[in-house]
Amino acid sequence: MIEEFRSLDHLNRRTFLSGSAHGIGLTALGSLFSNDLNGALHLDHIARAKRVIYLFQSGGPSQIDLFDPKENLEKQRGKELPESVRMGQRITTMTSTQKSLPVHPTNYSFKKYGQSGTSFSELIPNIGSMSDDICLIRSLHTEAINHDPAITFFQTGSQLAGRPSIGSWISYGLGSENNNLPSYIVLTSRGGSSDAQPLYSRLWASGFLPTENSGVKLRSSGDPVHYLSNPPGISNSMRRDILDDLKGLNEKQSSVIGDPEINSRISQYEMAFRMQTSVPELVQISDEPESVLNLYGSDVKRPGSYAANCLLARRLAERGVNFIQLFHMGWDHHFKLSENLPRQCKDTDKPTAGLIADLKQRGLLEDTLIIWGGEFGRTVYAQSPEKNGGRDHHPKCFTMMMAGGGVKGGYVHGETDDYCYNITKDPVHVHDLNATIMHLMGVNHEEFTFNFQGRDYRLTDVHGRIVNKIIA
Amino acid sequence: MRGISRHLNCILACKLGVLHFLFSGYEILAKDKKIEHWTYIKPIKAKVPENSRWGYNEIDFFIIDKMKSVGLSPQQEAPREEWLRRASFDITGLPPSLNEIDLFLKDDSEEAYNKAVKRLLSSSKYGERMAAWWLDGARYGDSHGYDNDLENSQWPWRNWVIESFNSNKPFDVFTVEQLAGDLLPNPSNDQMIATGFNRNHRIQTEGGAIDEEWRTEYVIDRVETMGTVWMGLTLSCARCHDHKYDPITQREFYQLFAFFNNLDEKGFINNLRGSAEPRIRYKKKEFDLKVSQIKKDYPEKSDQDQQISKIEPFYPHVMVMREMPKKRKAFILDGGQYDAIGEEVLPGLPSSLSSVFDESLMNRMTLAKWLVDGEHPLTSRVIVNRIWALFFGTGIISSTENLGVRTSPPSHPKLLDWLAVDFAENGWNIKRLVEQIITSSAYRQKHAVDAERLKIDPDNRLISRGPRLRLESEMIRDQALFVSGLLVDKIGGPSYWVYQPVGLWRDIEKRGKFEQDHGDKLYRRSLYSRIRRTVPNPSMAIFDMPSREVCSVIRSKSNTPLQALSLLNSVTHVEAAKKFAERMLLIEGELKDKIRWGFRSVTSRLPDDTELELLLKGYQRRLDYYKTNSDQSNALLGVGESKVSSLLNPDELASMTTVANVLLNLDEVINK
Repeated sequence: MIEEFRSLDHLNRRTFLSGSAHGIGLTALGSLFSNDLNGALHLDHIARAKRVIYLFQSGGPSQIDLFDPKENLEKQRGKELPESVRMGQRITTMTSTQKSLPVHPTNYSFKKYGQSGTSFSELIPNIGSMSDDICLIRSLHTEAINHDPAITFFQTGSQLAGRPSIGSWISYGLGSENNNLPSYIVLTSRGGSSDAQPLYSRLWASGFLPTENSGVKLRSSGDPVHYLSNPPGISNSMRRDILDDLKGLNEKQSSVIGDPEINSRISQYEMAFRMQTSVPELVQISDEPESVLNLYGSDVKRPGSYAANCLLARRLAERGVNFIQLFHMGWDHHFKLSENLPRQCKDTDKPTAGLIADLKQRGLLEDTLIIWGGEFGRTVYAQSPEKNGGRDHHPKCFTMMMAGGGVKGGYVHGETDDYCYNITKDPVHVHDLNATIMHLMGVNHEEFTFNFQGRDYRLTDVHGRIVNKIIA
Repeated sequence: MRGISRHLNCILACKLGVLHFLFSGYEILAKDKKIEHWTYIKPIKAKVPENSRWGYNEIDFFIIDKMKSVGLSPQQEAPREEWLRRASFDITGLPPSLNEIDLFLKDDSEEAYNKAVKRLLSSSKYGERMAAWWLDGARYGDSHGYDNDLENSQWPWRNWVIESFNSNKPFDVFTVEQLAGDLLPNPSNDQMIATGFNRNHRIQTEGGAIDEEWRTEYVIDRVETMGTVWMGLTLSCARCHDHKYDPITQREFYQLFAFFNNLDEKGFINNLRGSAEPRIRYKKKEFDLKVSQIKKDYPEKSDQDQQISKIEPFYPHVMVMREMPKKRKAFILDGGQYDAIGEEVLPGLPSSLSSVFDESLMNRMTLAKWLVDGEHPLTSRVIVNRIWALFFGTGIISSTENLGVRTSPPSHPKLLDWLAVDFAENGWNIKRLVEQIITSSAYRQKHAVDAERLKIDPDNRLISRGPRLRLESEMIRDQALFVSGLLVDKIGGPSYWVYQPVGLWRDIEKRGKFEQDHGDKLYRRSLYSRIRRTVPNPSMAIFDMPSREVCSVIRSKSNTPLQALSLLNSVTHVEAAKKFAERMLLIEGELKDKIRWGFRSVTSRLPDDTELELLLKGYQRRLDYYKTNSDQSNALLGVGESKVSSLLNPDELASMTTVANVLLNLDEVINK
């Protein structure tokens, strides 16, 4: 029995979990995983998305200036934010000491796009042009008010460090579709704005899940994956020759010692060698025709740009990587909003739209879930209004975009009040969003647990309601 | 994708465990709705099972008893080299030298094993190895974490840990000094520094943070860390509500909170570098003497300042615990939120674990002493279990971080209790406990496994063979430095920046530019490699070293392609291969003698003919290539900052470097 189960190691986990392989049904599986993976992955519904491309906009983009127009707010410009709106809710110490909280309506115009007529800011016309494929959630809200806890909360369902990231959960649950690449890949880029929060590897770490489920970061300078290149003086054929010697000795040791980990290590070295080919081939974009490159804008040729990362995301999606996450820094516009926001939008507007269009023309959009958004929104009141100011952090309401992967295109979910301060309809908590992402991937977020410290942990803690209204 | 088999192994082990659980008298008794679980009952020294023909000490009699019950018999004794290599890594974190191997092989007396263990335990490297272990739970790092993550200067606390293990400070004293050293009568500078344990947590330095929110977070971190490290309980569950499984109420959580709540500290310090108050200067007397000498030697103020700034990095301020004269009030926080203040609470101990004390008298000293008074049901079990896990890979209770009601059942409950009581009875003597384990017949078994053992005991929970475990991240690097002769043999001091991939800090460059150290500082033991918590050195993280952002008492032992890439290609390991190859070539004798020496240096055993032949052929093949591509030889030998002897032929050295690269990547070499 054990031997039979061991052989499942190299089976595609998704196939296995769907209950068809080897005739082992889900009931058997449930007990099989009862220790670590309680209840296992009940793929009790058909997955709408095979993979996720998560375009995380680190710093907190301004929903007021991009996605959530408030036509009547102009009349309030410069007036104090009414207490009936703020209702004593906490604000950060960056503006809590400010003498006044003057209402600052957006300076940008909005336009309705597509058949759906969804409004988008003039700063993001290319995204607007994909309106009929996009689902906007204007009623996201979160619990944290500072960057580190807020982004950690999005990534892991907890504000405190140590829990597995969403990509690690998916990697652990669904495994990999590609034997030459890791199942969770991360790319980072930095916008022109100087207000960039640092990004930490903890954000894509596996927490208490097995380490092999950590996100692997593809880097734009030096080795795309740490230590991928052979050192100077070691050619590819020499590396093969060295690995053959290594394999010979390890196999001999395996036959003497009998520890199954030795064979596992032998296969990890083989995968490492394959990655030495597959990763450079992945990041080498010279085979992309000009027409495709044009979709993403001219920045696409600059390695490490958001545009280049969007193109790589599509290439990863094609290669069967399940969870692809981009982090784009530079949305933390406390100051100089009028300079930094347009610049940041210019970096991201065309590539984001281009990615959606490119996936669509390849027929990949329908089973690829795209998510775009940051860790919180921004305040309607101005920070440092006397100077060239900006907006402070606002966790009470903000907007995220989704596309493809089973969500409704041309649909807007949720509403906020006249000041874009509080949610008035269909609130979506971070846990709800994560529950919905998992649901679209075919995973029941309530049953997918991992026992650690005597407790069954979930990405969504004890919360999370699937937002059914956004599902097509 | 080894996940599935691991789950299965767990299941089987659990099933065996459950069986044992049912028959061993360990049961959950429901009495008037109050849960009584064995972990809340003081352990008693179980009767040692009947002496068996197999076994060296008491551990073995428990082990064989269990093994027999499932129809297994012990594995043969390990070859002496295998045992010595394992014991050397386990006690000192380094492999044995060839000289040490020879001396051990020559000594065929009864006492050879004991002598070897005593020698290893008396090495100062023991303290470094144990410190690396303790630092995970103590969430030690060289930076403040969170957004800015600038450097701290807590390393003198790490020195204190190394020295404490080396002097074999009894674990009860070790505990009291760390949790309440400042409350001892006339505490020494060292005893004050020991309390840095509770200041190793991260500190929020991001603009806009709310002071009280983060100060509250630090106090909670202290409670949770103490809970994990000493009590093996997940106290954090009781932050927001009464614990679902363990008898800890939310009120009791905040009573524990009250113990750690009373220092004059800030929650938010913008762009903090170095130490936050309260703090004291490391070796203050020595520093003051040096300063007054400088003032004598240099009449000019500017020269004085310059000289003082030179010595200051070696006498930094260290963050410590210090009580405020007027106690800060503590409250139950509704939902764990800093601003949802509820009923006031006084310091107090959980009722399920203690008899009632007079609450007005309690402070951290009461708490520390209570943990190690010999009556506490958890502390000795927790620590014995963790030390067991350190050497056997898995604890007698596999969840070393949680011994509460929801813990997985112990594989050998009576052994755990016997060891726990024995440990406390014998002065909380860690070296003695290590010696008991390492000299046991259980540990001395060879680690080879056969189909039957793999089937009945897949994860070796029953210890039906010697432990075979992947080296920890620090050991992997230290071994490479050791066999290549690069390792700098020096104890303690500040941390240094070692090699890391170019551009690693790209995404945080606003927070500082990376400046690597050079010379000897590059080749210290990994314990001294600087830890910036938000950007861990990839070669360490890849081998499962925790980021040290929060307390962690369990390291996974993953097996991934990134590990292969790191060992094959990183500067650290290629440079080590180069210097190791140099040593091999300098060995007198024929080529095969040189390779044999190298093989033995990393595996502690001699290669057989097939192995030797394979390595020899590889050397020749690649030498042929380098002879006609000398530029490639020189390119390879240019990796790393250390130089190689100009007397050696570069093509031979390059080819031998590839042999060393093979050797340093052998599965046998990165396992113990």
